[in-house]
Amino acid sequence: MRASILLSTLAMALVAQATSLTGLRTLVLLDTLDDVLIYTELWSDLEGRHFNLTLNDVSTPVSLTKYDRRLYDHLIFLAPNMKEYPKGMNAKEVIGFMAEGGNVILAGSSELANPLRELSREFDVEFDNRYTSVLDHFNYDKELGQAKHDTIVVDPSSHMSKIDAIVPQDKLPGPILFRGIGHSVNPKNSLLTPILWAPQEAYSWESVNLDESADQDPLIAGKDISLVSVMQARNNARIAFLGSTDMLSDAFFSASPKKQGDKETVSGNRKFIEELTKWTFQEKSALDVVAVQHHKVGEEEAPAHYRIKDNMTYTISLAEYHEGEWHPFSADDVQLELIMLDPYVRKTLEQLELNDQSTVGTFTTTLQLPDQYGVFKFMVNYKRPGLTYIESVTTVGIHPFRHDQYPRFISQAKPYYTSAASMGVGLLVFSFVYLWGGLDSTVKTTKKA
Amino acid sequence: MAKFKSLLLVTLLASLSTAIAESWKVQDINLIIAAPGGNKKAEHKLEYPNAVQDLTADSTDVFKFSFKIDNKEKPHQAMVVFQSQDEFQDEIMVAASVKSSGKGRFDLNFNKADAKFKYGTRKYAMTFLVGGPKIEEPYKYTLGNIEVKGPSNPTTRPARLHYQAQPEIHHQFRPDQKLINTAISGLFTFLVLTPFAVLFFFWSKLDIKFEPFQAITSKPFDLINAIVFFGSIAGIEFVFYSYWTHVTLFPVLQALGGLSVVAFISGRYVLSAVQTRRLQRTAGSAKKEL
Repeated sequence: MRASILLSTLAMALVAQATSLTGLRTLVLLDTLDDVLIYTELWSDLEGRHFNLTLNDVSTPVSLTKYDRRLYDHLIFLAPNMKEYPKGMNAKEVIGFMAEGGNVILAGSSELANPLRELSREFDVEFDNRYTSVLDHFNYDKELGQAKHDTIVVDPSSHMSKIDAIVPQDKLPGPILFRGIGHSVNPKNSLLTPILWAPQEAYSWESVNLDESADQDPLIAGKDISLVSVMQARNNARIAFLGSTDMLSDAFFSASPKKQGDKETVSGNRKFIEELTKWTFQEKSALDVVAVQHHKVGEEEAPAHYRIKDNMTYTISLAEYHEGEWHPFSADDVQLELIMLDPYVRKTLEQLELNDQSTVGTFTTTLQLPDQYGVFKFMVNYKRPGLTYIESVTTVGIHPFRHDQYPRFISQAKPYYTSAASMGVGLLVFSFVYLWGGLDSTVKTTKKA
Repeated sequence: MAKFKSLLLVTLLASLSTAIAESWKVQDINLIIAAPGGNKKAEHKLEYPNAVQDLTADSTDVFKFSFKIDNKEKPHQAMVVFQSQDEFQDEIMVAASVKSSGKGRFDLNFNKADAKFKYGTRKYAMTFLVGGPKIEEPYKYTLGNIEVKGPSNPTTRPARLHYQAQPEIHHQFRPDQKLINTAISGLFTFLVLTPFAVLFFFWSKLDIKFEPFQAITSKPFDLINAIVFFGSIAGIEFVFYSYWTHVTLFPVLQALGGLSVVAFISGRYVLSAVQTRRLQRTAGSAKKEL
């Protein structure tokens, strides 16, 4: 067991060279190559994190895979106007790219064209109609959104998800600026998590002509408008949906958001995008199972099988990847399930205290196995938004009692024991009397006579 | 002169700032709740910032809202937000159409409105929002609360599914088998032993003598046979006892095999000794009869 821990730590150390667990080859699709200059800060941020960027415009043919192997590890769509995919690429290719483990960032704008709209629909994300924008006359930015009130200032403390694994709130220096299109997410899709949503007063409406009043109920309004959402697929590939390409631009990175009647603040966009790309590109919040151990209480090795009602100890070690290294993972909600078709036992594991030498987070529990025999799965099914899904399955057999494993001496069975013993004693007494005892021969003869 | 100039400047600036910081002027805000037939259930003339409390409406009622905007510009947004006052805080935005005269209105039929009104009887906070790109400062008026009755067959709210810790499951072990009272089993243990008492009682009546036993002590061959035979039978019983308590089948069979051979051979001698004794006895008694 120790050897296997060592090996996996070694394997981790090898991977730890790169900042992203998936890899560094990144393809960026832009409407035109002139747009490169809009996002210079983003490029320098990504290159600072060792990513190899390939900047393409949509007219350049490109292929994502060759001989069934990915040619890129990450894909960034900064081409909202893309009317059709570059030659050699289509929606199926992109989904196949994700199925192979590639990560995607998809940024839209109010001009978002059909290909990306349809791609998003595959992930239960529905962008509002073309040429609509998220408008807010109450939370617009005085400088960037003066004309149309379409650049909105979003307060992360109230309108951002509280999941620190994706974007931790305390790392943002200020509010987030957004200008673009809103989308709605299917609430029944548990793989999807909205990260940023619109203020209560916001609504999504055509932003071409604002002279006429919006005289019909908006399709989506308020917090139903998702501005940024993320999805982690079942194979742990990650995708982020942003309604705004401007969010990633130099102008928004360096802006000083100022709401009507408020003080000027610092834009949190740069940090927000940094954390979001770190999450999407698997630079953080990635988990791995390092070791699983189980044994009977008082023993060390895993037995070939257990017996019903055995007391046993289960231990799982988890590591979390961030800043290019594996660290011990900490949580208080890791659960173990004993499953045979249905879960028979579900128990929250306790984490052992970490010390300076800890390389993994160790979660353990001791429990009594159910009085049902069969083939059980010890399963840690740890799925939390923002974290790599963990499904660790150990199959074990649980046997019933053998004939000689039942309680041997029951006080209620004493009559049976006694009768058996009395027969044994009786046999000895009888044979003794028969063999060496005898009636007095004189008495017998006198009686006969 | 300088004073006058600065005064002029101040008034000029003031007028300029009012021109920029123009705000929405909303008047004649009327709120009517009407039954399906058209009967007014409630009518409120609202004036900023007074709020109405404890309004109620049935699921079939119509919520009529009208106002007038006294600005040259038309607002882009003239909407009322209903926010449910429960854990979900669902938001429903209802838009009013504003005519060029500045008059705006909407009729909200709860029966035909947004599905969020049909999740059951809920209380909503109403906020009137007026805004547009032409005027910097928007207008926000908290109108108050309204309770909207849910329809007789409310729809279920699509719950947001997300991964989270599941409730723990504790296995219910089958209860132990019920056992009878130990006093009863004790009584039966005693009953099982009673035949011995009866046996010894009758044997004592028979007046058994252990003459042959005393006799064999003088014959070493018979004595050894007797000890070996009796010992082997006792040994077999001990093996049975061990089988019951701890020994498994195969060692038991081995031991039994050995012991039974010993018992068989020594038994033959012991039994033939018994037979000889009997023959002697019958011969003796025959002699006596003669």
